Amino acid sequence: MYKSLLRIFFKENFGLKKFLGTDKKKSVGKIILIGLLMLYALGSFLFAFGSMFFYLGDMLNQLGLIEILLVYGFIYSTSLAMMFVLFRANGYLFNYKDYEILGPLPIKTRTVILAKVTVMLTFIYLSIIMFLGPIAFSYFYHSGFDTLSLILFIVASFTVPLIPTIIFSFISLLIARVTSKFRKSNLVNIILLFGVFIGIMYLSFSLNSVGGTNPLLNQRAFMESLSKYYPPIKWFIEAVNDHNFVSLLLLLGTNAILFTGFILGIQKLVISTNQRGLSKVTRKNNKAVVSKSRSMIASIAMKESRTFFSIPIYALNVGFGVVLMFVLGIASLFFTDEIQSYLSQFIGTGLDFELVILILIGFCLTTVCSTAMSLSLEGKHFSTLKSLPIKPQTVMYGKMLFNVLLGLPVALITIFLLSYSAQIELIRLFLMMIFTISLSLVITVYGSVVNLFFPKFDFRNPAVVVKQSAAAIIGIFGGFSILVVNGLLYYLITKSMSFEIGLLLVSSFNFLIFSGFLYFVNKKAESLFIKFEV
Amino acid sequence: MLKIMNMSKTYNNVTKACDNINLQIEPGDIYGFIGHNGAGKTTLLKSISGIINFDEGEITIFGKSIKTEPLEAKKLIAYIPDNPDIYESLTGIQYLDFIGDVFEVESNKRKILIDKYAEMFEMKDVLNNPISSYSHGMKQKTVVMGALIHEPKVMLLDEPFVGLDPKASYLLKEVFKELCSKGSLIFFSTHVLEVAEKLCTKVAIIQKGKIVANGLTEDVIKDHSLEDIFLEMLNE
Repeated sequence: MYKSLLRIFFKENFGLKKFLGTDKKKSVGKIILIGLLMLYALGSFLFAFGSMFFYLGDMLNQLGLIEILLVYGFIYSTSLAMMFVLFRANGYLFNYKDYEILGPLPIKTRTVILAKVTVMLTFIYLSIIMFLGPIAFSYFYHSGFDTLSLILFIVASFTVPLIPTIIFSFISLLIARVTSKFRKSNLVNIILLFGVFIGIMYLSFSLNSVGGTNPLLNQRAFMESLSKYYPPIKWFIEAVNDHNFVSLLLLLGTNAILFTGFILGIQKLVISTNQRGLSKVTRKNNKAVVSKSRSMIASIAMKESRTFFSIPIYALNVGFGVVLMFVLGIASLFFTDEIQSYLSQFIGTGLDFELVILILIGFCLTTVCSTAMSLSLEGKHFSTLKSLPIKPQTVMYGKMLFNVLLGLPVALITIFLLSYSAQIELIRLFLMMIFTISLSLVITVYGSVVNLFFPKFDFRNPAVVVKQSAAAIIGIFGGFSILVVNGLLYYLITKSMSFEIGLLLVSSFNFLIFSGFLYFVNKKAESLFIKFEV
Repeated sequence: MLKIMNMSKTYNNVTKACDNINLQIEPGDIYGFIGHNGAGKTTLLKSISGIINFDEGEITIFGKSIKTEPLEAKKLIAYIPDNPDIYESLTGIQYLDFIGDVFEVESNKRKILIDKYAEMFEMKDVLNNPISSYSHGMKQKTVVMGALIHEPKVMLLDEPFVGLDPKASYLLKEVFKELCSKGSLIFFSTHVLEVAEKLCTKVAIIQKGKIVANGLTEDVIKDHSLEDIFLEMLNE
């Protein structure tokens, strides 16, 4: 039965159609385009990440600290598992959408749980390979390759995400349980998830700066301090680096016991949470009903904001950049001296303060791209939207308006606050704001174009659209590419011109691209909407 | 036999969806379950099928308790929800095979039954297509076929006629009769009072979680129509 369930769950989660949103036979062009884009994205990621760890490995090897690379691998894998489970455990285990199908069938609960966890772990392993691969390459290249080490590395790596999966499944459930008691449960859920993420980020930063000025030389002490709290990291290193079979046994044994206990122990919890999720009780609300009329675009933008706050994974993905900008802006009010000293590091590197601020803000803004998935998130309601007397262009404008309102105001305020802390001239501040507006607009409309090309209305869980759809991935990578093109353009222009002219020309370039994309949406939205079948 | 004894279910410790329900449904019965929106029909059907837990009482299916022997009890049940929300990435035949595997239906018998019902519900030509390409009615027919291929002793259906075309509705009613003649029992909720009146051997009316009338259809309606009885009870 486990195999049958696994086959179905894999089909539901990993199909090419699930990723593309359309039938592969009908979209050969799309497949080629996506394949090339994915290759490009994968190549640039592996190149950037791989070369970073290759040079780090070289440095560590010279210092006799090559095993530190394994620590990095372990921490990256653990963090990825933590994030994935935090987002997805609730949907995979505790409130799975097919409970009503599986519930009445005579299948053992532990079989269902094992199959669900297998799918979740497959996703985790696939993401971990992306990070562990380059790290492993650097490790084996510098420390010398031998088959036993590789086997030990592969076996030990399989255990890395298991304990985080167990712990963070419960944290995910706890958050879902706590928030379900509130009337605005999704909003509370989003705030708590942001809290956990910012907490993890804060912790990792503080751990990295444990008692020393040279972080590289301090890594051994850091690893030892970490091992005290979390022994598997020590066992992992000892098993792979020192071929210590006792450590390997400890690693495998502990994980096997905990994982088996987890599968067997959560059966009742899984059933009770899924059952609880089915009960819909309509509470009476005595608040007077107030009706408000808005323009069509404003009404769509308002609907978008409600969707945004009702899907935690969507809010977290798209809103993370906004929260980072907000934190940065507020922090700049209290840490003016620190910001000035941080920015002064760049003196002589050819990077102006203004540029550093724009890179930070630009990076955050590129992640604010709800338009790459908001059309897909209409899901089965898209047909309702289609049946209404609204022009497709208006629908897209409403979605764009929401995205701009989500990211741009916070970006502008943050730039203002950071510029104030860094004592940037008014004219430069004004130009930076112009550039930010142009970037926000171009990212927004680009997202809309991508979603028009790669819609995905057929999904059970919105997380699939937000995390696994072609549009979402192309949206984010494309956004970064726009930022990189902006950077290159600026670099070329400022070879012979001033910062001000450079920024003005790059902004103009963005406005031009924005106009082109907007023209496309205007022209094509209608014909594409008709083609979409839900 | 399906026995529901003193069954109660409360949501959030406040809303009593089912209040001390007692029903006994015998093999051969086609039992209609009638009530207004939110009366507790779906809650009762989901409790019987083991989808949700209930606070008090007991439900047994041919002697097997859904609480203490869920797997044995579920082997005898087919539950058809009001919304045919099934795995859309599968084809129709893959879904039917999955259900056949779960209920361990022997392959020859499975093939015969799939052929029979695919022919009957005019689904033969589309069983190899993905479920995502089906209409609502086709999905409903697929779920019904999935329920029938393991020849359940107890068939639980939540609003089964919604979304079916007249021919499929007629066929489903015929299937009900055929199953009952072989010793199965059918328990279904419906808003279509006419169907209940004509098809059911027994009916129960639920109001605010309580059974307010039940028994042989002719005893419950006497010389009135079921619609009159139902509306009269709602107004009380």
